[in-house]
Amino acid sequence: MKNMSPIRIVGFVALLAVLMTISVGIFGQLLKFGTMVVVSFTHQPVVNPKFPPASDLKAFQQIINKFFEAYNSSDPGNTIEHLSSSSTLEKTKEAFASGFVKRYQNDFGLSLSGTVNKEESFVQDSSLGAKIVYRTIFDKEKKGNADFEFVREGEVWKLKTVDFTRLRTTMDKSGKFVQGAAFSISYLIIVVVILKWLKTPVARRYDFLKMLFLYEALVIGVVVVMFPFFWMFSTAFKASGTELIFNEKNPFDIVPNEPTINNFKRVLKMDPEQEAQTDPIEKKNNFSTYFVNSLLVATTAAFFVTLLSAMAAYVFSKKELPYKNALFGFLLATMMIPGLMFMVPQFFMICKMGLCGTKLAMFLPHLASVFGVFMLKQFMDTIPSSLLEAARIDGASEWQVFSVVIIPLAMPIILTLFLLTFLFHWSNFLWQLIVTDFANPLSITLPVGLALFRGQYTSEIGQIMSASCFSIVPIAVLFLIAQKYFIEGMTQGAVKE
Amino acid sequence: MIVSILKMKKENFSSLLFLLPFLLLFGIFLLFPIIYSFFLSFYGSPKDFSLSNLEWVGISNYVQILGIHQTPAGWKLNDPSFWWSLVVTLFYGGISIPLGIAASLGLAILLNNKLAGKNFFRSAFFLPNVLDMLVVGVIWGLIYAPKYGALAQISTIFLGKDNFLNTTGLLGSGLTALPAVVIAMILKGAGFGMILFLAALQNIPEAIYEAADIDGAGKWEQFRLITIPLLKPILIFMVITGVIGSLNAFTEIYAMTSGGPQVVVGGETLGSTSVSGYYLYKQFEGGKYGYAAAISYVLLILTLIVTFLQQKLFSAEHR
Amino acid sequence: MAFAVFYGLLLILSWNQVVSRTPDGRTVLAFWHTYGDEETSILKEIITEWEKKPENAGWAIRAIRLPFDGHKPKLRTALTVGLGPDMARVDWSFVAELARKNSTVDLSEFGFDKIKDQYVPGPLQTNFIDGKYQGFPEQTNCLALYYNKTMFRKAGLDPDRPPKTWDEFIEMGKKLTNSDKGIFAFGMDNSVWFSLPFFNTFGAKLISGDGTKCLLNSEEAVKAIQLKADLFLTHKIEAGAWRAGGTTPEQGFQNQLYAMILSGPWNLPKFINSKIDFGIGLIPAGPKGTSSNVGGNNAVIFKSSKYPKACYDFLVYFTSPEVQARWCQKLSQIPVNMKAYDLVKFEDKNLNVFLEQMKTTVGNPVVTSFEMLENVVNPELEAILTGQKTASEAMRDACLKVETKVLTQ
Repeated sequence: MKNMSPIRIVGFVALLAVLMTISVGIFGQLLKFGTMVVVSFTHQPVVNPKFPPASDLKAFQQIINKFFEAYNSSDPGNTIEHLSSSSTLEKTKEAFASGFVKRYQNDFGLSLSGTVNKEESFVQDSSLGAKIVYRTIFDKEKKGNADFEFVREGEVWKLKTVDFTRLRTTMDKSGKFVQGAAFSISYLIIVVVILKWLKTPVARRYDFLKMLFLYEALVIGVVVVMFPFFWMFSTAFKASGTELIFNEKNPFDIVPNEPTINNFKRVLKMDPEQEAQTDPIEKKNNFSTYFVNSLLVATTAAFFVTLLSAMAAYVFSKKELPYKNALFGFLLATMMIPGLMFMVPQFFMICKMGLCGTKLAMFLPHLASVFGVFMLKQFMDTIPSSLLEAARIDGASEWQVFSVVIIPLAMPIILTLFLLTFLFHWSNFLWQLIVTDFANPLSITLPVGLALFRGQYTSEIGQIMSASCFSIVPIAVLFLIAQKYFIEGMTQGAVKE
Repeated sequence: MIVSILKMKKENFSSLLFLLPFLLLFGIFLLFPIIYSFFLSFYGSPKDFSLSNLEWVGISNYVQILGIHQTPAGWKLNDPSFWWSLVVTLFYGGISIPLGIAASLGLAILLNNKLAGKNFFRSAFFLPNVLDMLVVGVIWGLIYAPKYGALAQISTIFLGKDNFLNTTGLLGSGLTALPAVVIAMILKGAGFGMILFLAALQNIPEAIYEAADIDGAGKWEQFRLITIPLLKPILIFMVITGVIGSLNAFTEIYAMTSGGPQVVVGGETLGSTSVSGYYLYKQFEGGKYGYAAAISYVLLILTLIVTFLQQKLFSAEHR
Repeated sequence: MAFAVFYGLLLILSWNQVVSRTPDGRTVLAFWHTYGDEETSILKEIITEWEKKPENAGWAIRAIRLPFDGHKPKLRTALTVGLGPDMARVDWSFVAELARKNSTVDLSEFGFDKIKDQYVPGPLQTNFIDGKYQGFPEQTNCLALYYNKTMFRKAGLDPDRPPKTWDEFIEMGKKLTNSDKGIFAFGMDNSVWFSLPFFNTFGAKLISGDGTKCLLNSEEAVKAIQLKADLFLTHKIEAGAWRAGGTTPEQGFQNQLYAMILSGPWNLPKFINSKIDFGIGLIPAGPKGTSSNVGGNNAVIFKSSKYPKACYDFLVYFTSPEVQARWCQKLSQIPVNMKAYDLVKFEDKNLNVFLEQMKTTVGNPVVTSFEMLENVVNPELEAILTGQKTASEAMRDACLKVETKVLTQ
């Protein structure tokens, strides 16, 4: 016992260290996500400070030009190379900082330091003219630059543009707060864990370690597995053109610096352009229509597929029928052929039936799902037949046996099938595309509708991700509702017998 | 006697009733397309868009897939890409099916006991199934990317800047691309198998384990001799759907590697992640419907042969 | 049950009224298109104008919008069951398939030969299938050279002078590359379409004019592809952006890792958003000067239409100089009608470079399925880049496959 102690303590400390890192990381990111969402709603575009007004501009240009004149005369045969030497940048920097920045700081509403970033300021002689750019930095945090660009026109240098980049955003400002909060929560957790450790009797401490390790492994597993979700969610908030920009220092930091809800607005077609629609049909041609259509199609399909599959699976699993196994084998064989091959003949048949373009057509051919039958049958095989015997002896009819005994026991799997079928029809793009009658935009379902706003060349990843976010919502909701039955259904099985 | 005949008929009758809706829909919407695509495999590419103007080519599609022809350099396969896709699919299935089952089963067992918060974990592991395959493929492609992918960045901490993950990336090399895709798919799909196993595990009464304990059987023995056999139907399901899934896999390849880094084998340039499902889709996309249909039937027959042989082996073993 | 109530609500919510937009006795022409939001509204204006003309009083054009992603399978299946439109706007590569499957109208019936010369040759060529013009060029673009001015400056190069020839490209590229820092001069795509500029600047053709022979193994083609491969293999100025899972050219450009990429005008707004100081140059010149490939869309009229003449009249109006000028001015796109070039004034000088490049484009190879062509040739191109085959070997193998798999359709 005593020999185990040091190993245990070391193990415990190691696990604590891992716990700390995981906890800080996770809570840090979670809080960041929270701030991101809040900020995106209140996000205001960066306001560029006023360009110096004309009179001041003149005054400033006089100062600068005087300096350049003096420089030119002091060094005859002056060329642009001279001007680009770092000492020149130094000298002019002085004039620039004291003459301009300090004087006009207030006009810009920002606390510019008088420091010129030498490495990134430059002088350039190109075929289109000469240019000097001074890059100054903001005081605190050194985050953010102000570029002042001068262009030589003849003998005179003129201030051409003032460009502010990478201002400190709200996200930056909240960074410290988020870090602090994450650390506090983590410390709390550590304290709780240590207290629990001290409370457990020494004999059971090894088990405690095992549990701790298990939890940490599971949490890491969840993080890895859920990472795509979070990536998708955070990318949906990124402005067009910035989705793929990486944070070199911390690849896990996937939260954008200037989050925006524009992608979501576009998906919901809440753009001002769209609001000017007068055509009543066009007005309804929007996300909510697609959403409801898809919801209907997917729900109906899921319900009927599950019902039919359950009935068929019951037969194959628990009932008698001549040539049952041969039939089942044949069905399994047909599962092998990819659905791609069936599309044209199925479409042909649907149209001959006059169902082209209807919502019914979108799921009718797929109501007979061999996969569903297979999955349910395999599961029903694990249900002991003695239960069925007992019910039959009690005088139950076949339908009663089916609905009162089998279905409750198979509920978790039935719900899984329901969910999967729902999912399939919710995102079944190709078939629904072929069936949709585009002349009637009101019958368009979600996957097709979302494709409508994917242009030919756009890889508007932000928009695609925000569309995916919307797609996921009903499924997640469905899943959470089904959760209750999952748990009930699963524990019921253990209680019986 | 008459009573027993009547009883039997009644049993069959109720079976038929239960089965009827399914069979009806199957017969209408699946049987005809299956027969149609079977016939399609004997025709060449359509000359126009009507379904009638097709050119009968007999078994030449099949010959093209399976046959060999003579060239100055000796006998060569007619369609090396097809055979290669079978090889790749074999690898794909060979890795993904056992790993997938192990992961799902492992998760199910872990989460089957009295762990606090297990419902949270169950939901969390199942949720990725809900994501669109295309989106998942794109995201994992970005994770695996060299230099800027999350994986590459982490690896520079442990393995320095010039490590493989950073320069070429897992998806950039013929050897590692396929396993990388497999891992991404397992991470997405493990939750599904987990639910199946969990539900089946719950169906096993505690009493059996208690009896085994009394008989002195250890945990591992109990697992081997009680749990696994009782889970057999689910295992079979996972294997069969795994096989079918591997043969028809397409979206994940399309999203992550587009057939993958090319390797040159025997003078032929072949994609290292070009599984049969992807290859078939490419034929379809290129307008070769008859050829694609022929491929799917060849695959079907091959699988049936393999299954048949396997059955024989099993029953031979049991004797 | 709650489920039944919920379901009932759904049924009610998704009830569609019958879409009745039959315009008062006029004959309806269905026009399937794949335009985006802005384009669709301008299209509607143009349609209204055309319908208002007295000679068109009997016609009503119904513009029906399809997603671009999937317009091909949609058209194929619709044509199979006889539910196709009168005219449609399709991706340039689709015209060959539609024409060879005997579903489009030969425009010479209506006198297209007289007006064809007003169109830009490159896009016009993509409609010339088996000796007949089967569609109108309708929207076009091409690849040009995007370059990062900041990176040029840092490397000591004149940021307003992009490379003019491939030799200059290689020279400047070496200065721009700093592989230790992961910065490269060039990031390229590997597909056939993206390699066409290389082929075109060497004057190499991929398919013979009559569509029966593959010319990939010609001397010029091999030289062109060798140059492209050498950018990665010998000069090492290319980043391997073509690799599966690698950083794509767009991505690398956005992150200021690739100094130059080949891309089209669709990326202009995006890169402006990314706040990169960039410029556009012409594709560097090879032995046959500068040239580029052609992207974009064409408009076809279907044989199944009962009123092809009216469709023809509309499409002539749609691609006429004034209409094109208006369309392109509003949407910052490149006109397909040469006479419109003088009428269009773009503020963004980058667009002017594209206009310039457009004049030197060459039509893309005409094959029934461009997808199949890329399926077969892309792997060979990759084999060259990975050093597994030499350029001539790869092109020879590619030609074999092209002749057996692509040209036989």
